[in-house]
Amino acid sequence: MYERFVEVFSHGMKNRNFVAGGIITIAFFGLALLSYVWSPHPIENINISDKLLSPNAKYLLGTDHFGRDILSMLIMGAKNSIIVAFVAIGIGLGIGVPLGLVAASQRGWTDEFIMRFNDFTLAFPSLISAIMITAIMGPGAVNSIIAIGIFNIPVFARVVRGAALNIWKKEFILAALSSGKSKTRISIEHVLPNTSSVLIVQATIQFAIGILAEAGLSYLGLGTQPPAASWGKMLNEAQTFLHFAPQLAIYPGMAIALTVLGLNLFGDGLRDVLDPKLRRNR
Amino acid sequence: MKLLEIKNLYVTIDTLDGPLQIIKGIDFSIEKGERLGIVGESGCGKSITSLAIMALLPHKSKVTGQILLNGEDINLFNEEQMCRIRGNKIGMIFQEPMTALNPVKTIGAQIAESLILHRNMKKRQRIYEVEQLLESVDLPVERFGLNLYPHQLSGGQRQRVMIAMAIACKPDILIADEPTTALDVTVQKQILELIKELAMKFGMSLIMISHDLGVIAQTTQKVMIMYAGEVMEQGETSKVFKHMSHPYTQGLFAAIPKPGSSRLEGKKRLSTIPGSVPDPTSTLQGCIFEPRCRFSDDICLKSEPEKSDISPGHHVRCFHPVVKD
Repeated sequence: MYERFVEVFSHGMKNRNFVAGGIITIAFFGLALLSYVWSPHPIENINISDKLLSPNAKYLLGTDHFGRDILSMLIMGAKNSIIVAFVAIGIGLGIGVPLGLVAASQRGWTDEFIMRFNDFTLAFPSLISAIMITAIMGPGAVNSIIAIGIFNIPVFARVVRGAALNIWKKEFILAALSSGKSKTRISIEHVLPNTSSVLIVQATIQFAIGILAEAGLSYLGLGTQPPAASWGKMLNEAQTFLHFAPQLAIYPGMAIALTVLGLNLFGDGLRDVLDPKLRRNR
Repeated sequence: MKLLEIKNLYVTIDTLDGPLQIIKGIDFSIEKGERLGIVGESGCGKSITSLAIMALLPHKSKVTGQILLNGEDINLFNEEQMCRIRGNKIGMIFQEPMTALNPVKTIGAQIAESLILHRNMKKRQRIYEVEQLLESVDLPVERFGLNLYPHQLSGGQRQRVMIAMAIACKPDILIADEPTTALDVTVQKQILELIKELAMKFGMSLIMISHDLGVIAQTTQKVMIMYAGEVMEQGETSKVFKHMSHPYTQGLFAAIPKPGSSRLEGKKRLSTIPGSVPDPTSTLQGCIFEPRCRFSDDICLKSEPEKSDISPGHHVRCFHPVVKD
């Protein structure tokens, strides 16, 4: 396992996407982890006398209309985005992967049923359905996690099924069947490990989508609720002051764009590294 | 009671063009410790026969007839019962050692799998057993650790790992489906010797599937010649090889290149069987080999030949068997 990690890493260092995306992703995660031990100012502190300041020594990126430190809010917002996207991926993996494996191993009606249900779910635009779900269950971080998670399920189910169908055709599966293993066991012990690389790549991409979705829901006021910070909510609040304090929108906007770009680059690079058939720049 | 007895086995596979009959009523049996060879050209149903014994045929296939293992019909078993037989009572070696091992698992873990499944062994005992198995297929543990991955081994070494996997639980029957086709000739000989030796050592019955008559001659006691899903000739290997009676068997033997028979040396061309294997969708009347047979006549066109005895334990399905003395 360790050797494999070293191998992937050394190949990755030669891949520009992997390196650039990796650096941004690590910086983003570092920022989020930092929030647990330190942030420049507590974000609950409302200090009207310091409102709408430009960047200065005390407030590195300035303050918003309540006098809150923008850098602190960005750091807390990063943590929030990660938690939401992470748990949403957990939901997608936890339910989507078993569904995909079952569909691939059983084929026939079970497969049809699972995949048509998948298509049904995918047919709804995910953000609009997430809005509907949060509108029904009420706004909040937990509900937005569930709403985003539900839309990760069909994505993972489809990706795993596709990869698993390929694995089921391999001769080592026939060998495993001939040694007396049940289909369930083969799915877990032989098929799943062989689909791990596509899963990792898909998870990185879904991570970026999750962050975007969280920002979107928060922007609409359906995601993270005050006083917790969220990039989407910062954007929403910045809207009012766009003319005389555009930096309020620029910082969170850039944070979202950079993070999503970084994660997508990292995902692309990782796919090239993990799948030798697609490896281009060596 | 015979260890494995196949009675009147038919296998039909549903395709878009309608049902295809792949196996058309074959019978054979194998006793404990006996080694049987199945020979035939590509598509004659050799592999389907072995998959039928393992009950691993594709979903859309129907099996009729009986496959009796120790007197019990495995067609009546459910999937769970079959799982207890596969790997435990019947082991199987595959043709392509390059793809028949899981690339992401160590060879030690893969050999141990059926021991965990069927023997419920403790970890320490399992490691000992896996080491013994590796030794028995001539992969000394000092050089070939349990933690190697398949890509670190050569084709011949991988085939040895496959053999170790197949015999891990000391099955009663070992099915080898063209085990040496993907290997070069020197390795081929070693692997065949190994399979034969292990079968004899552990008292396993062996079903050797091949299109190579040399392989069959080296490893088996009984042989069955198949053509288009039917058995053309069957009997003891020595008798069949000496008194080949079916025109198809004769054709197969005549098609073996002999030293010095190359055209460059001014000798005659390599003999072939004219025509090609009948399309399984077509329904021929009469003998299935008739269109390609040198001796065919009216009776061959009209009706299908029954089994007839050449000598005790050696029968042939032909109206005009070639009898030599």
